[in-house]
Amino acid sequence: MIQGSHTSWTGSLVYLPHGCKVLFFCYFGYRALPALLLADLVCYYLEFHNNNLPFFYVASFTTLASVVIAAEVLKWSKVSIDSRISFLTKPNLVNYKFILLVIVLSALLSSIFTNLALAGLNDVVINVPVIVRFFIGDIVGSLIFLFAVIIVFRMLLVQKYFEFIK
Amino acid sequence: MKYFIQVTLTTYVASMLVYALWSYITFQTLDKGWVGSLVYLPHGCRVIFYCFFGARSLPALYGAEVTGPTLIWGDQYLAYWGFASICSLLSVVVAVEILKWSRTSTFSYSIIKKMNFANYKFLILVIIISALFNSIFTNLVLGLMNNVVINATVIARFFIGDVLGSMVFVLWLIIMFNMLKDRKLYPVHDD
Repeated sequence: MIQGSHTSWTGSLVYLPHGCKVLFFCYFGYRALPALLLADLVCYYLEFHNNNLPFFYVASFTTLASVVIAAEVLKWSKVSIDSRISFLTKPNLVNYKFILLVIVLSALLSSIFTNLALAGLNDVVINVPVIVRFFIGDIVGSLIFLFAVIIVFRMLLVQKYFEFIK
Repeated sequence: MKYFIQVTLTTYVASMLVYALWSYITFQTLDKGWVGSLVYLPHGCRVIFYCFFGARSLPALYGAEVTGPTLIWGDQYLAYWGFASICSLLSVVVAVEILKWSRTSTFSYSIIKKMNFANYKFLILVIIISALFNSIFTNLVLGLMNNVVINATVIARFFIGDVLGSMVFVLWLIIMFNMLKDRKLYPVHDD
């Protein structure tokens, strides 16, 4: 969607992949990390070929680390009623507050530390509006992805394609 | 009204003392003054006083944020720092309100009933989230109003400074209040 556009940075205002990272880590835990990392690396390769790939790989690592740290900090703090989300036993999005908090905290961490890593490695100045754009993009993208997942699962539930396991 | 005045006086005096201590240590050597921002103690005041006294503490916190730097810098005090202070305070308010909304804990906001730091996880989360908000949005305000480019390193420094400064401040309070409790200088109610 962002290819060929002169204002391709606007795509980063709705960065959908952050939603994948949050949701799949919350549901599948550490088992999801290799696949998430691989998906990031493959997508970057297909999108940018050999241009600045190491920087993007570092960015993938820091964003994933942000999600892991955010989720673990919130679990440690027992922030929500039940932060133990398991896809197999409870495929629901009832405990949305935990996911929303992970989205906000990981977006904050990712926007700062991904840009810090990129600025340090690339020896460029990344200013605050870019960081704010990352933050907004991660949050808006994640929320849209989350709503899409909710709608799909609701539809599947209504059509009785699956049942909740109590 | 009486409680509001008590809160205002306590918050203002304590915040000013902390700011005076921090700035005295930090501005000993002006060329290396930024090192002091790696342990920014006043952020601990914002977190602690807002968590304990709620919105009542905000006028005093803002007063201390403005008068402290004004006394230090005099004519060199820049007007837009006042807006940055509002942003810093809002960061703490937003962090606390988000965590309250998420039913984080049973943390009591009354200093009279529970003058303890048992529920330290709530405070730590407020410190981390408010530091993240503060580092991004305060620098955004400063950058836009001053028309300068503030890079990611400065933002990371703000974040580290707010977190470390708050931790040091909270640890100091814990030590002080534990000592007072051991000496039985004040009673602690468990309810």
